[in-house]
Amino acid sequence: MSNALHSTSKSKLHRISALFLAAALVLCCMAGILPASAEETTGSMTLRCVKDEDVVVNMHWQLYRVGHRADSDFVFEGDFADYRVTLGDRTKSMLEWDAETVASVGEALKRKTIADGIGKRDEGYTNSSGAVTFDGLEKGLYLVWGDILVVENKTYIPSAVFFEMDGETADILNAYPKIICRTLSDSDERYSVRKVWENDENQPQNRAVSITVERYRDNRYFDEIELNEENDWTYYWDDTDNHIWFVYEKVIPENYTVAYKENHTQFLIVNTYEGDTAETTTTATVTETTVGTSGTTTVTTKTTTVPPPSTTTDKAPQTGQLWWPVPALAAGGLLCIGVGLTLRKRDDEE
Amino acid sequence: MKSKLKAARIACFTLGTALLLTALFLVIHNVNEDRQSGVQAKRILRTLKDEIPEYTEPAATMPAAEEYDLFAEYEEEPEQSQALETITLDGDVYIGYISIPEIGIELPVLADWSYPNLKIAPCRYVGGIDTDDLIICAHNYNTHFGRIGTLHTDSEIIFTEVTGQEHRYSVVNIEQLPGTAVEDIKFGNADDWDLTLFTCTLGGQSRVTVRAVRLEE
Repeated sequence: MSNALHSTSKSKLHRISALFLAAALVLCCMAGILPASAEETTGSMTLRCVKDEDVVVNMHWQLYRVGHRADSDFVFEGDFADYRVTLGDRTKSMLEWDAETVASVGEALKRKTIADGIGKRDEGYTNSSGAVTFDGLEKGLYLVWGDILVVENKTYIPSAVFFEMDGETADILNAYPKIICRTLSDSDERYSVRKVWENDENQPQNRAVSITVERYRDNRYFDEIELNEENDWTYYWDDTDNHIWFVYEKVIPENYTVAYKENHTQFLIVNTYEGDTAETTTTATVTETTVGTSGTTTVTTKTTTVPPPSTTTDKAPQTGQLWWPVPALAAGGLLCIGVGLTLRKRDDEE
Repeated sequence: MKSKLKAARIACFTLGTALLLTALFLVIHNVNEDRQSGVQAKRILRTLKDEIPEYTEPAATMPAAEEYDLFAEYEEEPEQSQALETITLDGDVYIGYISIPEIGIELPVLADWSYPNLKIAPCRYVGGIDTDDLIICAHNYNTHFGRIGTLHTDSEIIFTEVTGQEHRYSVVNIEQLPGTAVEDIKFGNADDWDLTLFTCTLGGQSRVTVRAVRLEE
């Protein structure tokens, strides 16, 4: 009996222990799961594509995850790791950057995806309202850009959008990408690309001797050209077929970042020095060199600019004619003649 | 004794006549040089005017964002005085022409001064139109700046660029400065004038300096 009682109480004890164990296991699991689910909070980005009165329908957009924020800094990852694009103040939220900088980062990253053939994470087409939504986006940095869309004689060129999912306030984002609309024309266009250096005025030795620039036509690789001191870091080309061009710096010079600016016909590549400003060693490098297909043209007109005048003399220019000897000579002559007349008179008197 | 007096008398007459003739020769030379410079300047001015287009005001509309010159801010800054456009005639570079109706002169202005250039026409000494610090010097020929000393406050001066754009000025001050006072000529009360003209006095030691301010355009 006592054995039976002992056996029963032992069995109860086992059951209670098992229950406690199970409860502890569940609690442990929950404890493990909860933070995990917090990290996996996802959000969405909706792009709304409208140009003036036109709703841009059926525009193809592709999304890339490019990095994340770590220790108040932006860290590019995967295919974008170590890409040196000119950013705004990394310690601040991207919302505090100026719009031009954000757009420039997006454009640079977009060009990298095309140049390097980086695979997209997601894609979509704008619906009849001109909207396309990407959801399931974890905390991190993203790039989304759209293809050029041609509708009848109009070409819609969307700008890339670089954005951050911060996992807190940005669960649902909306963006209105800038869209440029061009109408097909028969006129020739002269395009130009120029490369400029910034923030290294006192350290020009850090600059590369030349850079290689790839040209892309309608988002496809076209050719590459070299920019250097000899061509004043500038290259010109003509196009008669309404292509959409962009340029891409193939190798960003060491210690520099890159940013792109453009208007209809001009492309500017800005390399900003971000190395040690006290550095004085020469790190100039020559990157790949391939000459482009068409040459530059120098336009000369009858007008030129004036060289600085030479004004180093310590006296203003002598702008007078030789007048001062005239009265002196005349007076001297009259005096002599006067003396002569006096002598003659004295001679006559004698 | 008599022969000595006679010799002295002849010497005085000879020397006196020689000195008077030299003075006369100098006067003729100066007048002739003045006249020839005037004729040459007129000829150049005619050609220059033919080359200068009719000025049209640039459109006041702002360019679209896409049309801004992206490269402009990265162009090498020209020296302030280099912002003038020029026309080259027979190898000489001109920046425009100057008119002073009150003394009846209208003369081409060369881009840079040198003594050979000064014989042709007035020359830019330093400065530019856009920076309101243009200084023009010229010989004191009557046909050049010889009579600028007779100008007075409010006399009008017109400078026409080779682009055809006219700039009108009003005289505010006339003074004589020593030829060695280069800094005074170049900078004297620089805030108070937009255009300066100068030429030598007859003695050649000082400069007649005319300061003018830009009139509302």
